[in-house]
Amino acid sequence: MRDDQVSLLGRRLTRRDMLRLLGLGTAALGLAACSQAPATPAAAPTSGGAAAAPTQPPAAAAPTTVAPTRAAAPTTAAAAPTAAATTAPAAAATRPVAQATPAVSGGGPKITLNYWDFQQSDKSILDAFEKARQDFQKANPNIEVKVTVTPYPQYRDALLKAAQGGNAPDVATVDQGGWTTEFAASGTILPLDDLVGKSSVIKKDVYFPGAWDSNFYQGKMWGVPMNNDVWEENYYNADLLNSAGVKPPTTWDELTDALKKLNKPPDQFGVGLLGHKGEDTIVTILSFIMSNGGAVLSDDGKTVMINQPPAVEALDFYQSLAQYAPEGTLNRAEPDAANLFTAGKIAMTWDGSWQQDTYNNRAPNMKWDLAMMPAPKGKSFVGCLGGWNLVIFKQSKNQDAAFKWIEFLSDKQVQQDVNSLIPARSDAGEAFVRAKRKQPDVILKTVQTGKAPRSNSPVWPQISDALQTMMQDLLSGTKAKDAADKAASAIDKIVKSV
Amino acid sequence: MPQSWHAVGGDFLADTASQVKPAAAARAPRRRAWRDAYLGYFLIAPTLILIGVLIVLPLVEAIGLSFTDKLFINPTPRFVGLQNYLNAIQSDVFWRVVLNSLLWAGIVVVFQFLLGLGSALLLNRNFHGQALARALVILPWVTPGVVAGLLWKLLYDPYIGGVNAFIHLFGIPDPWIPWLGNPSTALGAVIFTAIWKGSPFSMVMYLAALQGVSQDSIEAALIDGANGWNRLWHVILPEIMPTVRITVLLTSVWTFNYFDLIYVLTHGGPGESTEIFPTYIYRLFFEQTKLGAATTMGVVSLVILLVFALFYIRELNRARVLE
Repeated sequence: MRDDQVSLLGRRLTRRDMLRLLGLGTAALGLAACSQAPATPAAAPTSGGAAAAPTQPPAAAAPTTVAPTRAAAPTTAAAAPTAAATTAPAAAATRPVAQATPAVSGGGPKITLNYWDFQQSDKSILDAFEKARQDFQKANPNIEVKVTVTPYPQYRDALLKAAQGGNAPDVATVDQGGWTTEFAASGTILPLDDLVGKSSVIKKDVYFPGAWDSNFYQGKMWGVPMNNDVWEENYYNADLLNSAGVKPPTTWDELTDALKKLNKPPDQFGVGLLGHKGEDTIVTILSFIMSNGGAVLSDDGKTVMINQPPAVEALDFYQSLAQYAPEGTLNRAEPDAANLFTAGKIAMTWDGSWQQDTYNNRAPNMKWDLAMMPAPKGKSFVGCLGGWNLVIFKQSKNQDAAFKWIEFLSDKQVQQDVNSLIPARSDAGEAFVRAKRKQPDVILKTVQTGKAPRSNSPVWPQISDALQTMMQDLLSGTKAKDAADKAASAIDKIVKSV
Repeated sequence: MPQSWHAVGGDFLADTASQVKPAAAARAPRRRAWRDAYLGYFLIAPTLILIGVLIVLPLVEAIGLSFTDKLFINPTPRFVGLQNYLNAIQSDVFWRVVLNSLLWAGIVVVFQFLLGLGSALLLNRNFHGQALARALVILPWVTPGVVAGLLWKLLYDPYIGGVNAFIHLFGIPDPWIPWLGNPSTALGAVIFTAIWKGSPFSMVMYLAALQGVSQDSIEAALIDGANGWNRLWHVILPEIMPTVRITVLLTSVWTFNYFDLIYVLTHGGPGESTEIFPTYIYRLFFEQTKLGAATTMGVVSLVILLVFALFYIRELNRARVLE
């Protein structure tokens, strides 16, 4: 049998060779398919940085892979409520929202402006955005805005690839959780000081201070805030608190007392403490650290402060709360806590204001409310801000038009209409919160007093990774000081490497 | 081998293979041989070019990148030689990732084989509702990885999940085990889910192969008094062996590179207890943007897969499965 030949291709190629080739080809394709198409991560090794973009449009890597997970959605404070979570799996990765070309009525050469954003699912927001886009094009007939949205979990991947690969959009939203600084440091976006200086719309005093500040790095302004929200509010199940005779706590001591009374395992637990490896865990612990007067890094981003007493105390306190949480804190992400809360399993959960719709939809009969997060006695709560900033990429050939679009998106009414998170303009933000959220005063106060500590360093993602390891250590029982020391030496190395 | 192959071969007069080669070679004029060879190259050229552009070039660039300290914020990388590789082998995380990856791929592939073959044998019998059962069994495989991940994340929840409730059914007091939140059970839990998810593929492959097993040989074995086990071991398995080998190769590569499930279920945690190469590379590349370090991991995982694949393809050749 072994010498049978396929004479079709001449006598040289035996059937064995042929099949071997086919087999190798299949194996190679298999390897390729596995390492390229379905798994974004494995695409990384084989296609590497710059090459990734041209050969692999973001779309190729997206839907099947990293997909929209609830777990990923919370990765920043900003992730739209459950948007990414519920709709994204079905949605194609990167799809233009609209490509309608309005009639051009003369006046200058036609410009196409590419705008990228993460995908929102709320139909009314999408409609409002489309209307805003049409309005802008009517006012600027020579500019056509092309909107591309990507589910949140793949959005960062898509932007990173595009920025390095040479097909970056003109304008995009980037996460206040360190992305703005990171993109600034990478030299892929433009400083906007001159343009903002001349603008009559974009003024410091109309914005929430934290959102505005998150755009500064090395003395320059790199973005314009679009929206923001804060980690976190204290959501509680009013029935469970009432039956335990507990009032929403205002200090850390009261919190411990309340949780003691509310914790009745295995039917009911005190709090859905977050602890998984993810940014939602990090922003939560940051709010505890900041409320106790501590920090991860000094304001200039040079000195590591995570192992100093205020931060260590906060870590220690957070660790002590784990006994009032259900088993499995090490893998609990924001959506898991929301599931437990709406299932009536936990009395409290700490989350952002975007989660309110989820609670209403999933547990319409549950009596939930929210209050300001407790703070150490004599101190007040400082939340961790997150949200989105508008930036212009250096590659853009239409920077003036790009800024025009940013100015348009910074209009009060537009901000109020197109945002699913709290608009970054405080006037629009206030109107938004009062119209759409329970306890607007609490929310507005946390947004106003919140800080954006993650914009201090261009290597925030690496620092966050070290903090995630610290939290895993802490919640596995390592002493707070030891976990913090280990993180401090890792973060020190990271900061010095820049 | 089926007769049709000989028909494709065309001008063979004899069945005996050894006669063919010298005769054929002698008959073919040299020029025609060249032309046919060119035709061969011409026909495989598109594949080769595609592989070259889409795989080899980026691969070469990635290997180059792994010798640099490139970060997203440091676009002009410095050459650092083997530093990334040295850093890797000196880090505990790396060895944990290697061990996890091998455990994950090894256990998942073995169980996918066993379960796949077992269910294929069952579904190959005639019974009422056979078609429906076949369709149902394949469901896990057609479920997108992310959806399966979300589903199982809920099932593994210690209080509101189905897994602990199921254990409870057997009279065991509810254990409240946080399957994914405990470093000692998390890897087992994700492996179990991957077996659930991937077995149907093996099952379909084996089921297809089983349809091709000659009834004659099974009947002959029956007449010779072979019992069920003997029929499986000496008649059925040898006949479906080519399919088994290919399927094991494919599932090994797929499992080793499988990302979605772990990313959704645990994000590699708790600690590093479920971190495997794809999730670790993702973490380094997209989350931390340490492009140099990430491509280093990519190269290492590629080498592991290549060693496996080459060894395996050699075995396939030896067993002449590819013929």
